[in-house]
Amino acid sequence: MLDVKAGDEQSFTLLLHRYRSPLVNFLYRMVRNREQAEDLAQEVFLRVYRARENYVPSAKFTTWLFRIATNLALNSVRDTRYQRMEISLDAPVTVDAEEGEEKTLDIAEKHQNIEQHLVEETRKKMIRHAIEKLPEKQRAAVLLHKYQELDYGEIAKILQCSESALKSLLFRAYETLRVELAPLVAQQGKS
Amino acid sequence: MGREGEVMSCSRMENKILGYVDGRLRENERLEVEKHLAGCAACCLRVNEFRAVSGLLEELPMIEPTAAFDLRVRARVAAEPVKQSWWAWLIPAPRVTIAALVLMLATIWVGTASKNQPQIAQEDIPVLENYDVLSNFEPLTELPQPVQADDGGQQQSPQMSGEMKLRLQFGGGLLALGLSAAMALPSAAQSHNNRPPQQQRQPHAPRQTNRPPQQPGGRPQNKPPKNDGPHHNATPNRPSPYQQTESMGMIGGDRPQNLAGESRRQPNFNPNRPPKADNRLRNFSPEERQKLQQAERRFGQLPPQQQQEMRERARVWAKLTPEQQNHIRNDVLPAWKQLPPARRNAIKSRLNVLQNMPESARNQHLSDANFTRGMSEEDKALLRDLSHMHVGAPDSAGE
Repeated sequence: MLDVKAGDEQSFTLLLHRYRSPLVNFLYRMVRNREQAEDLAQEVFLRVYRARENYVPSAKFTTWLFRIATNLALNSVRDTRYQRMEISLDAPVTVDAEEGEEKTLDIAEKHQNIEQHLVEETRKKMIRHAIEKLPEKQRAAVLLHKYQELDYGEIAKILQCSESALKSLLFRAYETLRVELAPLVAQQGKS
Repeated sequence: MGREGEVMSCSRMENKILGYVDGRLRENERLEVEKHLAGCAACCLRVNEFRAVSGLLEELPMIEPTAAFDLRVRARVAAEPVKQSWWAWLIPAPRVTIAALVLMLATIWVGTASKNQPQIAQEDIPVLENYDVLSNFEPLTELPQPVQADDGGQQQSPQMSGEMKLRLQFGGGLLALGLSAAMALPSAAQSHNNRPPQQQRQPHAPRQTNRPPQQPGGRPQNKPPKNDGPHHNATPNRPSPYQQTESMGMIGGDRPQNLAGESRRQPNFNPNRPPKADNRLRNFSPEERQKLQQAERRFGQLPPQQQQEMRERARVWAKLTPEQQNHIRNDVLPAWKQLPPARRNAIKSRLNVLQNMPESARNQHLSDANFTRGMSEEDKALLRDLSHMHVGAPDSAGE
């Protein structure tokens, strides 16, 4: 980022390649809309670019990056809350949203029968819905913790809370997930 | 769930359990948790369930950004201005910018029309331009008024101050340009061209001897702004180059009342001015400006009543034909200056008597020895000369 600050456009390209996928995934899990997630991710990079001259490396770059992304995502979720309420959480998952998964399933279908495919689909749908039902801040904490593998200190800075509050937040989120995913958790335990 | 006496309570486990599942605890913390878990089946179960939840979350596949993602980011970055300057707002709206610039130029033009001049009141310029004549030739206001002619109105087109008209034309043009640039409406420009051309360039017929006091039919078409009074600035037979564009000279030609207010709107007094009368102040040479300023100083020192008289003289002066003006300036004034006050007053008083007389009565008076009693032959000749000098009419030779 310091190279970007110095005007090195190539470094910005490197940042883009390195963080585009984590950012898009995080935002996609947050807003549950691929197009919107990509728009937000573009906005994140744009803000990074705009702020390059004033960037001060007081924290890890990822912390700063995901803090921007989280704020954008939380704002977006709050802005579209009423709009999203009109869409049933139980509505079938669109092809667009699960494009990546479909590719995986296409390969898997070669080895699995349709019944297995439906079971897998149901499991994923349950997991997605369980995450989706989490309050926004808990959802962000879980996503940053589980998928971005950021440490507690970083996540706490991103969410602008103490580490202790973050641990409590994560505990409540996992408790909710444990209840929501109880059937799958039981299966997981048996296996 | 929790048990008293344990190394760590179940409530404390809440903050450690996830770190333990993820393997993020420090060694001493991990040992502490494991000690608790060894004696707490509930927490042990929760740990296992959290592990299961964590495993389930891993089942969700990752998605990849679309191929256009990078392009879009680069496009948005490229669209970012390198350095936003304060005038960058001009770029998105060039049409508005042009309109604003045109209007700004018009404003500057109007402003500079007075700023480029010496600090002289516009309405007094006609006085100051001819200050020497006006201050020394008192009988100007005693000169006979022109006799009205029946056909005067037919020959006189509606007139307006050339300077005022040019200013209106130019200002209107700028305004139309601004509007058309802003709105892209050709009609906006047309409105400028809709001015009656015959009033702007109508050639004048040969001068008329007499004029009606007012041309009410001509004024509404070319009424200049702020002008609610008569105009006397041009005579119909004035051969000055701008005469053809001036067409208000006959209006109010014989209305000496309200002269003070009217003179302020009569910047067109000098018959020798160039056609672009509105620029004459800007075109003054430094010497001329200095002269004007000197005259202004002298004029400013006069009492208001005398200033008013000077303005009235200026108004009469403006109605004189160039020949009459030259005659006064070159022939009459030098002689007038030589006269003692008593003789001047004698001539003035008689001129005043003759001023509104019919021609025959005037000649009769001039021939009457009683009327000119006590006057020298030189004074009588001067009186005769002046008494036949009808304001704005042809020279007295014809009379």
